[in-house]
Amino acid sequence: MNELAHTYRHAIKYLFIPYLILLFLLVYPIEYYVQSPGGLSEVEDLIEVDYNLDKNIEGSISTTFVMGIPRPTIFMFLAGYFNRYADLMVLPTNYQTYSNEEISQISYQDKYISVNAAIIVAYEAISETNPEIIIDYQAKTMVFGKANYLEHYADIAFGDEFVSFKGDNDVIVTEVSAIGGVATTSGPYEFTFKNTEGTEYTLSISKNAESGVFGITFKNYYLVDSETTFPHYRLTDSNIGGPSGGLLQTLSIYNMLSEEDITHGLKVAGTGTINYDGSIGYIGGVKQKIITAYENNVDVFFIPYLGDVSYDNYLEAVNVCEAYGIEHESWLIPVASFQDALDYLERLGD
Amino acid sequence: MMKKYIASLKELKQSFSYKALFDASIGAFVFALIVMAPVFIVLIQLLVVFMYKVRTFTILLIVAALFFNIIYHRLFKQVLIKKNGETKAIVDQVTNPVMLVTTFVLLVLGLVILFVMIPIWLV
Repeated sequence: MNELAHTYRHAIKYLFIPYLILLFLLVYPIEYYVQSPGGLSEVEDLIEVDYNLDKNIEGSISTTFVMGIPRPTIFMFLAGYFNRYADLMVLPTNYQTYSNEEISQISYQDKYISVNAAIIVAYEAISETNPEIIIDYQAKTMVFGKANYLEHYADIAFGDEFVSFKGDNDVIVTEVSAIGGVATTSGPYEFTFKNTEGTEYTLSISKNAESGVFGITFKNYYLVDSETTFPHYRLTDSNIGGPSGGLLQTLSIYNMLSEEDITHGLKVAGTGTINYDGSIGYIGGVKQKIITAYENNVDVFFIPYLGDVSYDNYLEAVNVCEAYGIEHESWLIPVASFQDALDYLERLGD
Repeated sequence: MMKKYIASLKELKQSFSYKALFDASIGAFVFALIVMAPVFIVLIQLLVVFMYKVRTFTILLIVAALFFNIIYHRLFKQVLIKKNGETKAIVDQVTNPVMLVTTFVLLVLGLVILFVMIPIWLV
Protein backbone atom coordinates (compact mmCIF):
# COMPACT_ATOMS: atom_id res chain seq x y z
CA MET A 1 0.00 0.00 0.00
CA ASN A 2 2.79 2.43 0.96
CA GLU A 3 4.62 1.72 -2.31
CA LEU A 4 1.53 2.66 -4.32
CA ALA A 5 0.90 5.77 -2.22
CA HIS A 6 4.50 6.81 -2.81
CA THR A 7 4.45 6.06 -6.56
CA TYR A 8 1.22 8.00 -7.13
CA ARG A 9 1.80 10.74 -4.55
CA HIS A 10 1.67 13.52 -7.17
CA ALA A 11 -1.59 12.27 -8.67
CA ILE A 12 -3.07 11.93 -5.17
CA LYS A 13 -1.93 15.46 -4.26
CA TYR A 14 -3.41 17.14 -7.34
CA LEU A 15 -6.54 15.06 -7.75
CA PHE A 16 -7.63 14.91 -4.10
CA ILE A 17 -9.84 18.04 -4.13
CA PRO A 18 -11.42 17.32 -7.58
CA TYR A 19 -12.04 13.75 -6.39
CA LEU A 20 -13.86 14.99 -3.28
CA ILE A 21 -15.92 17.38 -5.39
CA LEU A 22 -16.87 14.52 -7.72
CA LEU A 23 -17.90 12.35 -4.76
CA PHE A 24 -19.99 15.21 -3.39
CA LEU A 25 -21.84 15.47 -6.72
CA LEU A 26 -22.42 11.74 -6.66
CA VAL A 27 -23.80 11.41 -3.13
CA TYR A 28 -25.43 14.68 -2.07
CA PRO A 29 -29.25 14.50 -2.46
CA ILE A 30 -31.32 17.54 -3.43
CA GLU A 31 -35.02 18.24 -2.90
CA TYR A 32 -36.03 17.59 -6.49
CA TYR A 33 -37.79 14.85 -8.41
CA VAL A 34 -36.59 13.38 -11.68
CA GLN A 35 -38.96 11.42 -13.87
CA SER A 36 -37.54 9.56 -16.85
CA PRO A 37 -38.57 6.72 -19.17
CA GLY A 38 -38.36 3.21 -17.72
CA GLY A 39 -39.38 -0.03 -19.38
CA LEU A 40 -42.04 -2.65 -19.96
CA SER A 41 -42.92 -5.31 -17.44
CA GLU A 42 -44.88 -8.37 -18.57
CA VAL A 43 -47.86 -8.97 -16.31
CA GLU A 44 -47.40 -12.76 -16.67
CA ASP A 45 -44.20 -12.39 -14.64
CA LEU A 46 -46.15 -10.70 -11.84
CA ILE A 47 -49.34 -12.77 -11.67
CA GLU A 48 -49.76 -16.44 -12.40
CA VAL A 49 -53.26 -17.92 -12.58
CA ASP A 50 -53.80 -21.68 -12.24
CA TYR A 51 -56.17 -21.95 -15.19
CA ASN A 52 -55.92 -22.75 -18.90
CA LEU A 53 -52.37 -23.86 -18.19
CA ASP A 54 -52.01 -25.48 -21.61
CA LYS A 55 -53.16 -22.32 -23.39
CA ASN A 56 -50.55 -20.81 -25.68
CA ILE A 57 -50.43 -17.01 -25.42
CA GLU A 58 -48.63 -15.86 -28.56
CA GLY A 59 -48.33 -12.15 -27.77
CA SER A 60 -47.62 -10.32 -24.55
CA ILE A 61 -49.37 -7.86 -22.27
CA SER A 62 -47.09 -5.48 -20.38
CA THR A 63 -47.42 -2.57 -18.01
CA THR A 64 -45.24 0.47 -18.62
CA PHE A 65 -43.16 1.84 -15.80
CA VAL A 66 -41.24 5.08 -15.53
CA MET A 67 -38.36 5.96 -13.25
CA GLY A 68 -39.45 8.34 -10.50
CA ILE A 69 -36.39 9.47 -8.59
CA PRO A 70 -37.17 11.44 -5.41
CA ARG A 71 -34.24 13.42 -4.00
CA PRO A 72 -31.71 12.65 -6.76
CA THR A 73 -28.02 13.36 -6.29
CA ILE A 74 -26.67 16.46 -8.03
CA PHE A 75 -25.14 14.22 -10.69
CA MET A 76 -28.45 12.44 -11.34
CA PHE A 77 -30.19 15.78 -11.59
CA LEU A 78 -27.62 16.94 -14.17
CA ALA A 79 -27.97 13.64 -16.05
CA GLY A 80 -31.73 14.18 -16.06
CA TYR A 81 -31.19 17.69 -17.42
CA PHE A 82 -29.37 16.23 -20.42
CA ASN A 83 -31.95 13.46 -20.90
CA ARG A 84 -34.39 15.00 -23.39
CA TYR A 85 -37.15 12.66 -22.23
CA ALA A 86 -36.82 13.39 -18.51
CA ASP A 87 -38.83 15.87 -16.46
CA LEU A 88 -37.20 17.71 -13.55
CA MET A 89 -39.36 19.22 -10.85
CA VAL A 90 -39.28 20.32 -7.24
CA LEU A 91 -40.15 17.41 -4.94
CA PRO A 92 -43.99 17.28 -4.83
CA THR A 93 -45.47 18.73 -1.64
CA ASN A 94 -47.05 15.44 -0.58
CA TYR A 95 -43.62 13.74 -0.73
CA GLN A 96 -41.66 16.40 1.14
CA THR A 97 -42.34 15.04 4.62
CA TYR A 98 -41.62 11.44 3.62
CA SER A 99 -38.28 9.68 3.33
CA ASN A 100 -37.43 7.97 0.04
CA GLU A 101 -38.15 4.61 1.67
CA GLU A 102 -41.63 5.77 2.75
CA ILE A 103 -42.31 7.05 -0.77
CA SER A 104 -41.45 3.57 -2.06
CA GLN A 105 -43.75 1.97 0.51
CA ILE A 106 -46.65 4.20 -0.59
CA SER A 107 -45.94 3.28 -4.19
CA TYR A 108 -45.98 -0.45 -3.40
CA GLN A 109 -49.26 -0.07 -1.50
CA ASP A 110 -50.70 1.63 -4.58
CA LYS A 111 -49.64 -1.31 -6.68
CA TYR A 112 -51.03 -3.82 -4.17
CA ILE A 113 -54.45 -2.15 -4.30
CA SER A 114 -54.24 -1.95 -8.09
CA VAL A 115 -53.45 -5.66 -8.50
CA ASN A 116 -56.38 -6.61 -6.24
CA ALA A 117 -58.68 -4.34 -8.25
CA ALA A 118 -57.40 -5.88 -11.49
CA ILE A 119 -58.12 -9.40 -10.22
CA ILE A 120 -61.63 -8.40 -9.14
CA VAL A 121 -62.51 -6.69 -12.45
CA ALA A 122 -61.02 -9.45 -14.62
CA TYR A 123 -62.59 -12.33 -12.64
CA GLU A 124 -65.98 -10.60 -12.56
CA ALA A 125 -65.85 -9.93 -16.31
CA ILE A 126 -64.99 -13.52 -17.20
CA SER A 127 -67.44 -14.98 -14.67
CA GLU A 128 -70.30 -13.53 -16.73
CA THR A 129 -69.58 -16.15 -19.40
CA ASN A 130 -67.86 -18.80 -17.30
CA PRO A 131 -69.72 -19.72 -14.07
CA GLU A 132 -66.76 -21.81 -12.95
CA ILE A 133 -64.89 -18.60 -12.09
CA ILE A 134 -65.51 -17.40 -8.52
CA ILE A 135 -64.33 -14.12 -7.09
CA ASP A 136 -64.58 -13.26 -3.41
CA TYR A 137 -63.30 -10.11 -1.76
CA GLN A 138 -63.67 -7.95 1.33
CA ALA A 139 -63.63 -4.23 1.97
CA LYS A 140 -60.57 -3.06 3.90
CA THR A 141 -59.12 0.21 5.07
CA MET A 142 -55.38 0.80 5.16
CA VAL A 143 -53.04 3.47 6.43
CA PHE A 144 -52.01 5.36 3.32
CA GLY A 145 -50.53 8.58 4.68
CA LYS A 146 -48.99 9.94 7.86
CA ALA A 147 -48.51 13.56 8.85
CA ASN A 148 -45.14 14.37 10.39
CA TYR A 149 -46.89 15.43 13.62
CA LEU A 150 -48.67 12.08 14.02
CA GLU A 151 -48.11 10.53 17.44
CA HIS A 152 -46.50 7.06 17.30
CA TYR A 153 -45.37 7.87 13.76
CA ALA A 154 -42.79 5.09 13.72
CA ASP A 155 -45.17 2.49 15.18
CA ILE A 156 -47.76 2.82 12.43
CA ALA A 157 -46.67 1.43 9.07
CA PHE A 158 -48.01 2.22 5.62
CA GLY A 159 -50.40 -0.54 4.59
CA ASP A 160 -51.43 -1.46 8.14
CA GLU A 161 -55.13 -2.26 8.28
CA PHE A 162 -57.50 -0.09 10.30
CA VAL A 163 -59.49 -2.34 12.65
CA SER A 164 -61.39 -0.12 15.09
CA PHE A 165 -61.52 3.20 16.91
CA LYS A 166 -62.67 3.74 20.50
CA GLY A 167 -64.37 7.15 20.64
CA ASP A 168 -66.28 9.22 23.18
CA ASN A 169 -68.08 7.21 25.86
CA ASP A 170 -66.08 4.14 24.71
CA VAL A 171 -68.13 3.83 21.55
CA ILE A 172 -66.26 1.55 19.14
CA VAL A 173 -66.52 2.19 15.42
CA THR A 174 -65.05 0.07 12.62
CA GLU A 175 -65.68 2.51 9.78
CA VAL A 176 -63.20 5.33 9.27
CA SER A 177 -65.98 7.62 8.11
CA ALA A 178 -67.64 7.31 11.56
CA ILE A 179 -64.58 8.46 13.51
CA GLY A 180 -65.42 12.17 13.22
CA GLY A 181 -68.78 11.68 14.92
CA VAL A 182 -67.34 9.98 18.02
CA ALA A 183 -64.12 11.97 18.43
CA THR A 184 -65.28 15.40 19.52
CA THR A 185 -62.36 16.27 21.80
CA SER A 186 -58.62 16.38 21.16
CA GLY A 187 -58.25 12.94 22.73
CA PRO A 188 -56.31 10.78 23.25
CA TYR A 189 -58.32 8.03 21.54
CA GLU A 190 -57.51 4.39 20.97
CA PHE A 191 -56.86 3.20 17.43
CA THR A 192 -56.50 -0.50 16.71
CA PHE A 193 -54.58 -1.59 13.64
CA LYS A 194 -53.45 -4.89 12.14
CA ASN A 195 -49.99 -5.06 10.65
CA THR A 196 -49.04 -7.01 7.54
CA GLU A 197 -48.12 -10.05 9.65
CA GLY A 198 -51.69 -10.12 10.97
CA THR A 199 -50.89 -8.93 14.51
CA GLU A 200 -53.29 -6.40 16.02
CA TYR A 201 -51.96 -3.48 18.07
CA THR A 202 -53.64 -0.55 19.83
CA LEU A 203 -52.24 2.96 20.18
CA SER A 204 -53.51 6.06 22.00
CA ILE A 205 -53.39 9.01 19.64
CA SER A 206 -54.35 12.63 20.24
CA LYS A 207 -55.36 15.20 17.67
CA ASN A 208 -52.71 17.68 16.67
CA ALA A 209 -53.34 21.03 18.43
CA GLU A 210 -52.68 23.11 15.32
CA SER A 211 -54.45 21.11 12.63
CA GLY A 212 -57.16 19.57 14.84
CA VAL A 213 -56.76 16.14 13.21
CA PHE A 214 -54.96 12.91 14.09
CA GLY A 215 -52.71 13.01 11.04
CA ILE A 216 -53.49 9.64 9.44
CA THR A 217 -54.78 9.27 5.90
CA PHE A 218 -56.77 6.11 5.19
CA LYS A 219 -57.64 4.46 1.92
CA ASN A 220 -60.52 2.06 1.30
CA TYR A 221 -59.93 -0.85 -1.03
CA TYR A 222 -61.08 -4.38 -1.74
CA LEU A 223 -58.84 -7.28 -0.84
CA VAL A 224 -59.35 -10.51 -2.77
CA ASP A 225 -59.91 -13.58 -0.60
CA SER A 226 -57.45 -15.92 -2.26
CA GLU A 227 -58.79 -18.96 -0.36
CA THR A 228 -62.32 -18.83 -1.71
CA THR A 229 -61.52 -17.36 -5.11
CA PHE A 230 -61.27 -19.78 -8.03
CA PRO A 231 -58.99 -20.30 -9.86
CA HIS A 232 -56.12 -19.66 -7.50
CA TYR A 233 -53.39 -17.25 -8.44
CA ARG A 234 -49.89 -16.38 -7.27
CA LEU A 235 -48.32 -12.96 -7.04
CA THR A 236 -44.59 -12.49 -7.47
CA ASP A 237 -42.69 -9.88 -5.46
CA SER A 238 -42.10 -6.84 -7.57
CA ASN A 239 -39.65 -3.96 -7.68
CA ILE A 240 -42.09 -1.73 -9.53
CA GLY A 241 -44.73 0.26 -7.68
CA GLY A 242 -47.64 2.52 -8.48
CA PRO A 243 -51.23 2.00 -9.62
CA SER A 244 -50.91 2.85 -13.31
CA GLY A 245 -50.58 -0.76 -14.46
CA GLY A 246 -54.17 -1.56 -13.42
CA LEU A 247 -55.72 -1.68 -16.90
CA LEU A 248 -53.01 -3.91 -18.37
CA GLN A 249 -53.01 -6.18 -15.32
CA THR A 250 -56.77 -6.60 -15.76
CA LEU A 251 -56.38 -7.41 -19.47
CA SER A 252 -53.64 -9.93 -18.79
CA ILE A 253 -55.56 -11.72 -16.02
CA TYR A 254 -58.65 -11.78 -18.25
CA ASN A 255 -56.51 -13.32 -20.99
CA MET A 256 -55.23 -16.01 -18.64
CA LEU A 257 -58.84 -16.91 -17.75
CA SER A 258 -60.42 -16.75 -21.20
CA GLU A 259 -60.34 -19.50 -23.82
CA GLU A 260 -59.31 -17.12 -26.58
CA ASP A 261 -55.91 -15.39 -26.79
CA ILE A 262 -56.84 -11.73 -26.91
CA THR A 263 -53.28 -10.64 -27.74
CA HIS A 264 -53.49 -12.14 -31.27
CA GLY A 265 -49.71 -12.40 -31.21
CA LEU A 266 -49.22 -8.69 -30.60
CA LYS A 267 -47.01 -6.86 -28.13
CA VAL A 268 -49.69 -5.08 -26.11
CA ALA A 269 -48.76 -2.43 -23.55
CA GLY A 270 -50.36 0.62 -22.03
CA THR A 271 -51.13 2.52 -18.90
CA GLY A 272 -54.11 3.57 -16.78
CA THR A 273 -55.43 2.82 -13.32
CA ILE A 274 -58.39 0.48 -13.01
CA ASN A 275 -61.49 1.26 -10.95
CA TYR A 276 -63.77 -1.42 -9.52
CA ASP A 277 -66.47 -0.64 -12.10
CA GLY A 278 -63.99 -1.27 -14.94
CA SER A 279 -63.48 2.38 -15.76
CA ILE A 280 -59.98 3.75 -16.19
CA GLY A 281 -58.35 6.58 -14.28
CA TYR A 282 -55.76 9.16 -15.24
CA ILE A 283 -52.06 8.58 -14.75
CA GLY A 284 -48.92 10.70 -14.55
CA GLY A 285 -45.68 10.56 -16.53
CA VAL A 286 -47.38 10.38 -19.93
CA LYS A 287 -44.33 11.66 -21.81
CA GLN A 288 -42.00 9.10 -20.28
CA LYS A 289 -44.46 6.25 -20.84
CA ILE A 290 -44.96 7.12 -24.49
CA ILE A 291 -41.21 7.24 -25.05
CA THR A 292 -40.79 3.92 -23.23
CA ALA A 293 -43.45 2.30 -25.41
CA TYR A 294 -41.91 3.75 -28.56
CA GLU A 295 -38.40 2.59 -27.60
CA ASN A 296 -39.78 -0.92 -26.98
CA ASN A 297 -41.64 -1.12 -30.33
CA VAL A 298 -45.05 -2.03 -28.92
CA ASP A 299 -47.83 -2.89 -31.36
CA VAL A 300 -50.69 -1.51 -29.27
CA PHE A 301 -50.53 1.06 -26.47
CA PHE A 302 -53.68 1.77 -24.46
CA ILE A 303 -53.94 5.17 -22.82
CA PRO A 304 -56.77 6.76 -20.80
CA TYR A 305 -59.03 9.06 -22.77
CA LEU A 306 -61.78 10.49 -20.61
CA GLY A 307 -62.71 13.64 -22.47
CA ASP A 308 -61.54 16.62 -24.45
CA VAL A 309 -59.92 18.42 -21.55
CA SER A 310 -56.42 19.88 -21.61
CA TYR A 311 -55.12 17.47 -18.96
CA ASP A 312 -56.42 14.36 -20.70
CA ASN A 313 -53.78 11.62 -20.99
CA TYR A 314 -54.52 10.74 -24.62
CA LEU A 315 -54.40 14.35 -25.80
CA GLU A 316 -51.16 14.84 -23.86
CA ALA A 317 -49.75 11.67 -25.45
CA VAL A 318 -50.62 12.93 -28.94
CA ASN A 319 -48.86 16.21 -28.16
CA VAL A 320 -45.79 14.29 -26.94
CA CYS A 321 -45.73 12.19 -30.13
CA GLU A 322 -45.96 15.31 -32.27
CA ALA A 323 -43.24 17.08 -30.25
CA TYR A 324 -40.83 14.16 -30.70
CA GLY A 325 -41.80 13.31 -34.28
CA ILE A 326 -43.36 9.95 -33.36
CA GLU A 327 -46.08 8.52 -35.60
CA HIS A 328 -48.94 7.47 -33.30
CA GLU A 329 -51.96 6.67 -35.47
CA SER A 330 -51.34 2.95 -35.70
CA TRP A 331 -50.49 2.06 -32.11
CA LEU A 332 -51.74 4.70 -29.65
CA ILE A 333 -55.24 3.62 -28.65
CA PRO A 334 -57.45 5.83 -26.42
CA VAL A 335 -59.72 3.92 -24.04
CA ALA A 336 -62.06 4.92 -21.23
CA SER A 337 -62.70 1.51 -19.73
CA PHE A 338 -61.47 -2.06 -19.54
CA GLN A 339 -64.31 -3.03 -21.87
CA ASP A 340 -63.09 -0.50 -24.48
CA ALA A 341 -59.66 -2.12 -24.49
CA LEU A 342 -61.16 -5.60 -24.65
CA ASP A 343 -63.44 -4.61 -27.54
CA TYR A 344 -60.49 -3.17 -29.43
CA LEU A 345 -58.45 -6.35 -29.04
CA GLU A 346 -61.41 -8.52 -30.00
CA ARG A 347 -61.93 -6.45 -33.16
CA LEU A 348 -58.32 -7.16 -34.11
CA GLY A 349 -59.16 -10.85 -34.18
CA ASP A 350 -62.11 -10.42 -36.56
CA MET B 1 0.73 -26.45 -17.29
CA MET B 2 -0.65 -26.73 -13.76
CA LYS B 3 2.69 -28.09 -12.53
CA LYS B 4 4.49 -25.11 -14.06
CA TYR B 5 2.05 -22.76 -12.37
CA ILE B 6 2.50 -24.39 -8.96
CA ALA B 7 6.30 -24.25 -9.39
CA SER B 8 6.07 -20.52 -10.18
CA LEU B 9 3.83 -20.01 -7.17
CA LYS B 10 6.34 -21.76 -4.90
CA GLU B 11 9.13 -19.64 -6.33
CA LEU B 12 7.09 -16.49 -5.70
CA LYS B 13 6.45 -17.56 -2.11
CA GLN B 14 10.19 -17.88 -1.57
CA SER B 15 10.75 -14.30 -2.77
CA PHE B 16 7.91 -12.75 -0.79
CA SER B 17 6.43 -13.33 2.62
CA TYR B 18 2.69 -13.85 3.05
CA LYS B 19 2.55 -10.44 4.69
CA ALA B 20 4.09 -8.78 1.63
CA LEU B 21 1.67 -10.57 -0.70
CA PHE B 22 -1.30 -9.64 1.48
CA ASP B 23 -0.15 -6.02 1.71
CA ALA B 24 0.29 -5.83 -2.07
CA SER B 25 -3.14 -7.35 -2.60
CA ILE B 26 -4.91 -4.97 -0.20
CA GLY B 27 -3.04 -1.95 -1.57
CA ALA B 28 -3.88 -2.86 -5.17
CA PHE B 29 -7.54 -3.42 -4.26
CA VAL B 30 -7.85 -0.09 -2.42
CA PHE B 31 -6.16 1.88 -5.19
CA ALA B 32 -8.17 0.14 -7.92
CA LEU B 33 -11.32 0.91 -5.93
CA ILE B 34 -10.36 4.57 -5.52
CA VAL B 35 -10.01 4.82 -9.29
CA MET B 36 -13.06 2.80 -10.28
CA ALA B 37 -15.62 3.53 -7.50
CA PRO B 38 -16.69 6.89 -9.01
CA VAL B 39 -16.95 5.20 -12.40
CA PHE B 40 -19.27 2.55 -10.98
CA ILE B 41 -21.39 5.15 -9.15
CA VAL B 42 -21.60 7.34 -12.27
CA LEU B 43 -22.68 4.38 -14.42
CA ILE B 44 -25.26 3.19 -11.89
CA GLN B 45 -26.75 6.69 -11.57
CA LEU B 46 -26.82 7.08 -15.36
CA LEU B 47 -28.50 3.68 -15.60
CA VAL B 48 -31.23 4.83 -13.21
CA VAL B 49 -31.86 8.08 -15.12
CA PHE B 50 -31.61 6.36 -18.54
CA MET B 51 -33.38 3.16 -17.50
CA TYR B 52 -34.73 2.64 -21.02
CA LYS B 53 -31.11 1.98 -21.99
CA VAL B 54 -30.64 -0.48 -19.13
CA ARG B 55 -28.82 -3.09 -21.19
CA THR B 56 -26.37 -0.55 -22.62
CA PHE B 57 -25.41 0.66 -19.16
CA THR B 58 -25.23 -2.87 -17.81
CA ILE B 59 -22.72 -3.71 -20.55
CA LEU B 60 -20.73 -0.60 -19.60
CA LEU B 61 -20.81 -1.74 -15.95
CA ILE B 62 -19.50 -5.15 -16.96
CA VAL B 63 -16.70 -3.46 -18.92
CA ALA B 64 -15.95 -1.30 -15.86
CA ALA B 65 -15.77 -4.42 -13.67
CA LEU B 66 -13.28 -5.96 -16.12
CA PHE B 67 -11.23 -2.75 -16.03
CA PHE B 68 -11.25 -2.89 -12.25
CA ASN B 69 -9.92 -6.42 -12.42
CA ILE B 70 -7.15 -5.42 -14.84
CA ILE B 71 -6.17 -2.36 -12.77
CA TYR B 72 -6.10 -4.45 -9.60
CA HIS B 73 -3.80 -7.05 -11.14
CA ARG B 74 -1.50 -4.48 -12.73
CA LEU B 75 -1.12 -2.64 -9.41
CA PHE B 76 -0.58 -5.92 -7.58
CA LYS B 77 2.20 -6.86 -9.99
CA GLN B 78 3.65 -3.35 -9.82
CA VAL B 79 4.03 -3.53 -6.04
CA LEU B 80 5.63 -6.97 -6.13
CA ILE B 81 8.00 -6.15 -8.97
CA LYS B 82 9.03 -2.91 -7.31
CA LYS B 83 10.00 -4.84 -4.20
CA ASN B 84 12.09 -7.31 -6.18
CA GLY B 85 12.69 -6.41 -9.85
CA GLU B 86 14.20 -9.77 -10.76
CA THR B 87 11.00 -11.70 -10.24
CA LYS B 88 8.90 -9.99 -12.95
CA ALA B 89 8.67 -13.16 -15.04
CA ILE B 90 7.59 -15.22 -12.03
CA VAL B 91 5.03 -12.62 -10.97
CA ASP B 92 3.61 -12.60 -14.50
CA GLN B 93 3.43 -16.38 -14.55
CA VAL B 94 1.49 -16.41 -11.29
CA THR B 95 -0.83 -13.42 -11.70
CA ASN B 96 -1.73 -13.60 -15.41
CA PRO B 97 -3.67 -16.89 -15.16
CA VAL B 98 -5.48 -15.56 -12.06
CA MET B 99 -6.37 -12.41 -13.97
CA LEU B 100 -7.70 -14.44 -16.89
CA VAL B 101 -9.80 -16.65 -14.59
CA THR B 102 -11.25 -13.70 -12.64
CA THR B 103 -11.96 -11.88 -15.93
CA PHE B 104 -13.82 -14.93 -17.17
CA VAL B 105 -15.78 -15.24 -13.89
CA LEU B 106 -16.71 -11.53 -13.98
CA LEU B 107 -17.79 -11.86 -17.59
CA VAL B 108 -20.02 -14.84 -16.82
CA LEU B 109 -21.51 -13.03 -13.79
CA GLY B 110 -22.15 -9.96 -15.94
CA LEU B 111 -23.91 -12.00 -18.61
CA VAL B 112 -26.05 -13.70 -15.95
CA ILE B 113 -27.06 -10.27 -14.61
CA LEU B 114 -27.73 -9.01 -18.15
CA PHE B 115 -29.84 -11.89 -19.41
CA VAL B 116 -31.26 -13.49 -16.25
CA MET B 117 -31.32 -11.09 -13.31
CA ILE B 118 -32.44 -7.92 -15.09
CA PRO B 119 -35.57 -9.51 -16.61
CA ILE B 120 -36.40 -10.84 -13.11
CA TRP B 121 -35.76 -7.49 -11.38
CA LEU B 122 -37.85 -5.59 -13.90
CA VAL B 123 -41.09 -7.36 -12.94
